[in-house]
Amino acid sequence: MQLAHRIPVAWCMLVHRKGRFLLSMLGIAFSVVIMFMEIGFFNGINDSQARMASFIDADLVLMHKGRYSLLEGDRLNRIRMQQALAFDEVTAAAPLYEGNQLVINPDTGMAQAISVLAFPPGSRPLKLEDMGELSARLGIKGTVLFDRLSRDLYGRVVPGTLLTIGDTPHQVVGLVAMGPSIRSDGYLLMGDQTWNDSKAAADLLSMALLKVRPGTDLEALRQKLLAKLGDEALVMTPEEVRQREVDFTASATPAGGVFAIGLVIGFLIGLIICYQILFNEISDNMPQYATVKAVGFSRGYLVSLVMQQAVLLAVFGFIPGLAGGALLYYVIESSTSILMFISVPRALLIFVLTLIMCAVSGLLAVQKVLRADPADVF
Amino acid sequence: MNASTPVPPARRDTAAPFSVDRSQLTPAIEIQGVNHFYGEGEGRKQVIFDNHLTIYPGEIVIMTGPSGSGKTTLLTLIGALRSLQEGSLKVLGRELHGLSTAEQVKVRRNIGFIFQAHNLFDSLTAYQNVRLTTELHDYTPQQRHELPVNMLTELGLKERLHYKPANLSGGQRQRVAIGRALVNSPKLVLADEPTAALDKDTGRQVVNHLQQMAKTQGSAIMIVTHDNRILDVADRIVNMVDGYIVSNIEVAENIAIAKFLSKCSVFDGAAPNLLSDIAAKMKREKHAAGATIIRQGDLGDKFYVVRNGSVEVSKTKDGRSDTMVNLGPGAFFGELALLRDEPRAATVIATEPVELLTLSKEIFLQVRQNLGTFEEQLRKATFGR
Repeated sequence: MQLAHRIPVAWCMLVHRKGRFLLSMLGIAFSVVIMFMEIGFFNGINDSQARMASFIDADLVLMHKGRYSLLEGDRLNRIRMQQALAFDEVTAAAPLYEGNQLVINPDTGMAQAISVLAFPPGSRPLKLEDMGELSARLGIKGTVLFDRLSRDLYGRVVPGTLLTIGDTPHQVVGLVAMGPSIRSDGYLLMGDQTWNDSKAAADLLSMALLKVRPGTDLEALRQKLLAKLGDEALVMTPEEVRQREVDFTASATPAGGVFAIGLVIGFLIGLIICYQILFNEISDNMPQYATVKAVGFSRGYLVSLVMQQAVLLAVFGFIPGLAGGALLYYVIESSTSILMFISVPRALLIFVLTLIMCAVSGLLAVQKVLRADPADVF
Repeated sequence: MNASTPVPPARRDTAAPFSVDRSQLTPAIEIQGVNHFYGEGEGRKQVIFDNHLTIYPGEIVIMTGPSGSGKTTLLTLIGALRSLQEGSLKVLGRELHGLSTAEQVKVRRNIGFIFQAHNLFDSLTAYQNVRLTTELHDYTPQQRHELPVNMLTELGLKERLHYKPANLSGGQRQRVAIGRALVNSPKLVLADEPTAALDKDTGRQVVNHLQQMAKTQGSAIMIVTHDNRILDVADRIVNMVDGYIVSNIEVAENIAIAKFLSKCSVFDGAAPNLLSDIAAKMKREKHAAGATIIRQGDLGDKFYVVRNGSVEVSKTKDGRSDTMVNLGPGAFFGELALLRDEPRAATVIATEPVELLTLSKEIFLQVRQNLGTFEEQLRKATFGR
């Protein structure tokens, strides 16, 4: 029996009633959208949390081993940065400080927490537009750069605005575009002399950003650095820092669990919808299935007939689901500033889940077909 | 019965349907001692009782009987749609007793099924519905396309090949279903009330197609029906009551025998339905040339009609044997000993291979008694109406 010459019965059955097929597609698409939302939120939180790492403009990052998160943990002694600079391959090193401050909203007078990143004026620790020029403006003590993608909590902040940070007024000398995360609503960038009120504070870095000579073997350098700096330091690429932050957020916050449950619920809803669709299809065609069985088609043929329909439903439900998911991601990202994007692996994950969902409901529904007694058709 | 066997016109009335010898053929269906039960334990109920039935290739068999008489159960047993419990049932030479479900499926592939409801896929066109069953067998891609097209063309649906069932009339749908059953040229077709959902004309059309196509393919067809409008296509009519096969009549044979009998003076005045009854009760015997059929002086127990060949009647008197007469097809003998309750008065020997129809003494006498007068028969006929 050549497959190529077979009647596409499953397909014909599925599209026979176009209205019903459309509804079926939408039903599956609905659960696909739910699943996309759940992994979207989950990844959105993780990605947003780690977003700052993707701005780091460095080849290698030094951190204290006790720094478990980008924004929290032990600080690294400045000595370590100097030690690293001693290597020939390391061409530049810049300290980066981070912390939190309270900012008074100039419009409402309310104090709001904000994340602060500080670095030597003129250095370029972050990949931001006009970073060199903006960084140079921080040379004057008491000046700051404001993240214009911060949440609306801080009022209208433009270059020239006097912002009260802590107790002291600071002048906004420029705007950058970074974006908030779940834990921080916005960023202030300032010169290290503005941020550090003492020499002691200046000696403890959040991280040290290293630039290396082009063509350097990063892995070899990392080993050398680790050997030199002792077991106090972590040496990572910015991408590794980002991944570490994602992993930390996923494991240390309840978000992972919450959204995993959401994902399961979306999956179950899809399972039930898909089962209903297949079950109705089978109920409507019960005499036909029994006939097919009676005239000599094997159980395998019947199973494949139902499973083909299940897979087709998965494919044709996934496509509008993907489109709907992408649209919702866009809407959510623009309204909440949480990073939401569909990557190929994430789309594949949802597609595989959709396939499994439809296949399981297919296997459940096919029991009814297998129970069909061919003797009943007479 | 093979209607196409050439027969000299002069003998048509007498020997015509008898000329087929099927002893060499493998029966399409051979049922021996089949019993079937529904339910378990206390509630176990027998629905088929000791059925015996043999059906040959090319035969159209109509099975009748009241609802619940077990016709459909027997049909599903023949179709390997149910497991056989007791007895032997051979379909196309294959014993069904003890087959696994998977083996049953294989047997079913060689059977064409026609159901009361057409059970076509609404979502497939007529062509696709018929083509679907070709997937059960190995064909070339070209055959796979041409077989359904030719089949539907023969069934007069050439213009409707790509119509879905919803756009076909009831008769057309049933014809598609017949196409589906016959497209693989099955050697056995089982049909359950194929005309039940059809009006008289389309029912007739469908049955004619069935008959014509079955004859050209040499298939055996078994039709369960209550529709007496289609009885005329039957080669054999099987009647079932309460799980028993109560009669099994080869129609053409029966008619031919009845015609024979109508020419026998012993049955003068018998109405056609009585002759048909007698014909149904007659048994067949074959004798080689030279065999002695009746010996003078023996006790008479049978009445004979010569079906084929000829016999010689001789009488022995005082140690001398005199040939009295030669009897050919249509002639009868042996009635006197029965009527008078005497020993045989003559010896009958086959002069060539001969086929005889016999009736037991008991039935013969009973029939003679029932013959009665013309008026009596008329009354019976009126009553039986």
